[in-house]
Amino acid sequence: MNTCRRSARNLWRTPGRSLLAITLVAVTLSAALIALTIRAGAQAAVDEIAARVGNRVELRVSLVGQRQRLLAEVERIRAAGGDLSQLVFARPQLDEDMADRLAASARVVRYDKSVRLQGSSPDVEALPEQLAEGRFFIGGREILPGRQLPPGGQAMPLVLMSHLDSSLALEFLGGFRQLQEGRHFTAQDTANGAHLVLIDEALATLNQLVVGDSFTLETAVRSAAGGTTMVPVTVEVAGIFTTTRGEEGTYFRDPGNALFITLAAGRRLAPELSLQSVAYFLTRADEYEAFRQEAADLGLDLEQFDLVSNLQDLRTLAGPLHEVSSAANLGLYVSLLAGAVTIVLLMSIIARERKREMGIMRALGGTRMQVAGGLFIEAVMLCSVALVVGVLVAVQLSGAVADLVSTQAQSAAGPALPGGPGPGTGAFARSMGRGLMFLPAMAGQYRLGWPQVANGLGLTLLLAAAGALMPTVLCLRLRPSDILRSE
Amino acid sequence: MPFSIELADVSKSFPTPAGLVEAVRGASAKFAAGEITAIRGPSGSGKSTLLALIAGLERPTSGRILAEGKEVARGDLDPYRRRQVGFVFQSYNLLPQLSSVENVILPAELDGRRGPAVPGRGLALLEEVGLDAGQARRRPSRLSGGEQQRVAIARALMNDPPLVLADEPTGNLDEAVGLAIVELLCTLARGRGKCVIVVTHNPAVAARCDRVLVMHGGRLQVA
Repeated sequence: MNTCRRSARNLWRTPGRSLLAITLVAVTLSAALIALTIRAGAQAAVDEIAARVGNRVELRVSLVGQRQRLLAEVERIRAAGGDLSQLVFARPQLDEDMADRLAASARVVRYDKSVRLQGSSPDVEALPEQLAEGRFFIGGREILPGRQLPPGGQAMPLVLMSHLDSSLALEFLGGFRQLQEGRHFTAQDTANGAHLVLIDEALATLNQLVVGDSFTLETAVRSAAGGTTMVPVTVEVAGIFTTTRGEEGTYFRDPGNALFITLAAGRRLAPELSLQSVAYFLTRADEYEAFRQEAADLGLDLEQFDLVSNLQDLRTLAGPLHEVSSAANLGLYVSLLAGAVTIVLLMSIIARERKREMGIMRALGGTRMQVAGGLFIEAVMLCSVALVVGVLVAVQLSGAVADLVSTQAQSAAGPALPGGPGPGTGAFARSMGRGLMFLPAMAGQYRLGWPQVANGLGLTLLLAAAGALMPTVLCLRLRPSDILRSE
Repeated sequence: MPFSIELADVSKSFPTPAGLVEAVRGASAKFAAGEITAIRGPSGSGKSTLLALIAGLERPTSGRILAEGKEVARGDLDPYRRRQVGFVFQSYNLLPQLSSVENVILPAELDGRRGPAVPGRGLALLEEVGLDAGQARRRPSRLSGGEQQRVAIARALMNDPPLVLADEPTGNLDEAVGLAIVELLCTLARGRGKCVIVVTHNPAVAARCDRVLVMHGGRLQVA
């Protein structure tokens, strides 16, 4: 007869007490499993937000910084009694080679760089008239903007955003735009010199474009002699995206009047434009400071640029989820404490009742480990049955409890925004240029899964070990000769 | 070399609130294989303490206990108790949740032995002590006192130890059953060449032994 059977039979000697103990431990374990499930769900939601928001660090030319430096320079010349006509102020440039070298950092997993062709840029003002007026041509035919400008809107019906990797553009990452057909273009496409474009669905429909079609964008490029030359660039539609549009009148221009083009095509259209921003995706969000140091070590004068990190966004967005997670942790610890108290009390009673039997086994040559081990196995059996019951209860309850918690958290996160993905997005909307980027709502998979059951198994062993503590202490203090004294 | 156990000036004292109590004082004796020795004495004379020392349930305060020439108290006493000693208690000390045969084979399981031969030997021993297969399956609570003590004797012999100790084995039994039990113990032990030491109050039990020692005030003397 092995120890397990002996332990099982021992438990069955007092079925009422064993069933009561199983019930109590099952209640605490199911509470612990629900807490683990909610914690895992909250963590998954945080991870999802982290993946969407990303540990993205963007390096971009600082307009505010430039203005401040310009004013400081003017002040300096005036103070020195100099002639302001001598003022020479060079607009800082993002050194592309340096940006690429920084991308080789072990902290960087992916990166993107972009050039934005839009009317408000001083460089774009140098582009030919049709570009400044927002006129583009498809195969010699002027491209039609998606929607007429609202009264008072800016005269910029079409924006071209040139990226290395369109999937890393903040607008796609944030869910403001979503690819419906085709594919994103990648750094490899630019390396291959491919001229690809992503186009808004409405704009594509209006211009009768589908994935695979090609059209020509035509711009004027300054020549060395000072004149301009018309440069046609034929681009192929790689994908079609949808754009989140709010209610009519909530925006100054139709946000769908945008094209994403490969950096290779962008460079052909506007070779004079320097990089406007470079985005690095770090392996960990909290590596921001170390990354800054790395950039400084490479010789990048960070004072010249804005270095924008998503770390604070991430913390803000994940705040309510961390609160949920903390509450779940508290529930977990309280449950475990209750379970441990229950099992310790029960096993202490059992150990005292079995003191004589433990003495007999010691007198027959059983080691302390064998005797205490038998009681540990009893505790494991009891907790294992409780775990099975606890899992069944947790499966039934975790969904309902998690939905309740999720709803509460979403309410705390604020109301839905027009055009947003759902309730609780108020706190998750973030301005991006003239549009709004919608970050993930409080979505989370709050369902009991195998990882939680595996954790539950670990907790069961922990509880059993706690339960076996008192018998072990008693066994260590027990003298085999006590059996003769009790005769 | 036949088994023997030797006590050399063995003493055992216990601290009590009233001071140190010397339960065994300078006990010396030799017990040989095939010999049955009775130890008699009044209550509190130190008989059970002496038996506990020989059984490896206690370590002596001073003196030496030698089993086959090796000092017992120097090493780990658990293997000594498992393999060298079979113990028959006054109140049987069977585990109530186990059947008779499960009680008998418990020492073998504690010694790490497994397999079908183990219960087979347990059943054979129970048969030798006069219990059938039906009784072997019963729990101790469904056996008489005499039957329980037979189970305890079978358990003491399970690991085939060279030394069998019995502490008042007839104390809870009536005269006739008690004598039958002692007779059984003596027969089985003699037949197997065991060294048997029986602590008893009962002169009739002592009369069946080869040698009688007397404990008085913690001192061991030849009767």
